[in-house]
Amino acid sequence: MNETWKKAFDQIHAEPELKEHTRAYLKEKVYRTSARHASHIRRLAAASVFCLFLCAAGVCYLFFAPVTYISVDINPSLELGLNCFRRIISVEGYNDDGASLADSLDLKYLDYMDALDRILKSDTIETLLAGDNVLSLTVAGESETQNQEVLQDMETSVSGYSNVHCHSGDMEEVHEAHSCGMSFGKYQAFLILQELDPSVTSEDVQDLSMHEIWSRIRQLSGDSSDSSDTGGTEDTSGIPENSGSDDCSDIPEDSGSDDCSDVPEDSDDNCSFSDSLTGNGAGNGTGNSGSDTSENSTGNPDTDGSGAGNSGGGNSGSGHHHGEHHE
Amino acid sequence: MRSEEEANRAIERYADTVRRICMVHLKNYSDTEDIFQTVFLKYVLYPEPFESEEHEKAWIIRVTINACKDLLKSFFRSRTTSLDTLKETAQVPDTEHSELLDAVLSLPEKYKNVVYLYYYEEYSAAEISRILKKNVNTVYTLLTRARHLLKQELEGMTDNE
Repeated sequence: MNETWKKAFDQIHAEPELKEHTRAYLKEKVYRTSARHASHIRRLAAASVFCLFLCAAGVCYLFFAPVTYISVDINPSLELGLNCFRRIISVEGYNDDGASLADSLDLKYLDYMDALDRILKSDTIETLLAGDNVLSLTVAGESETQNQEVLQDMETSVSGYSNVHCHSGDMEEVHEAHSCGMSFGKYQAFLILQELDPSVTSEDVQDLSMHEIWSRIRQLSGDSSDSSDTGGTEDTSGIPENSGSDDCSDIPEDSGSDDCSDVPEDSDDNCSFSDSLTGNGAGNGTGNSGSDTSENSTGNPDTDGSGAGNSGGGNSGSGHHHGEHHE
Repeated sequence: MRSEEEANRAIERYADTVRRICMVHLKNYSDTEDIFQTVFLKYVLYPEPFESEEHEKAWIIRVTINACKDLLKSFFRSRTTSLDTLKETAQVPDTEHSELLDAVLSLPEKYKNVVYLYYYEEYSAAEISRILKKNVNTVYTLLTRARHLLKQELEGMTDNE
């Protein structure tokens, strides 16, 4: 009986096309969607890799984009570019001394406080600071808060030095400074000088040290404030010595003898300055600048009118100047 | 989910079994194709591993029977087909054995599975009761009645000849 059953049912086979259709159906229904799924995963992986790349690029950009500049000016003039993580990413010397200093110190990628420390402790800067030079540190940048923080940090770190000054500025001036080929601190000093003396050009200033620029500024402007307090005598006597030796070409020629009377001729509105100077000169100048000014000034330390009258009589060198006052 | 290789292996191995159950229950080729797709799709998506080949085979048989039942339920509800299609689709090439197959096909639905499993697949009544989720005694009863009906049918056929 069972044999018959076997024979009967054994004849029945699944048709090849039936199997084929089933295989095709499964392929279509199950395996292709899983293949599609795999391609989704692949695409997702590619997208995430791309995102990662973008993030890395963004971090690189952040790291290598200077946000804040610190300009270090004494005679070597160099500028440090800080990224938003406050690391030094660029060091640029704006004169030969600055370039050699930048080369000698390996400042790149240091934290800015470490870098500043290294600069201040370098032999070049230490000798310059010891030799009565003024170091100016200027902070400028796009981020106001970072500027303030950097400035504060710097002020606390240089509080031990008497002749180191910190300032802040803005980015536009930084770019202008760069276009003039100066570091930012020097450019600011130059701007102040130019305001007082419009004839000064950036080329004149480029080779001067910060100390020299500031002494010229003080020479041109500071005296009006000095005139009020006679303590300014030390300043005014100090400047001509420097300027006489190596400073600007026009001043030294006369400065040896009577620079005070000569300076006012350059600019008209310095009459009072000359008077005050001569007034100062009256205090200590009778001995050293022996000629006509002392004679005049001894008589009129206080009143303009009488002083003008005297100069009109005795001082032929600067006569036309005082004459204006007379009229 | 099972791999494509596994699916192909299962098709090779069990296609005939599935085809036979379909032949017993269904009347046309397109329904058989539907059952094939349903069964092997379920096989591919079935997450549990099979304990043995026997287990796997029993699983396939049960899924096929259930699929056939489902199809027949919806089949009778949606449309009616003439008995002529039975002759067209039933694979009965050999005249000698076609009598037996015809006799099986003419059995009421409830006897077909038991008969097929008992006589052809040679499962015991206990095994059939597990596959069909029926009481063993019920299986015995069904078998006895089916045997009786088949006997009548086959005798009648021989009488006609």
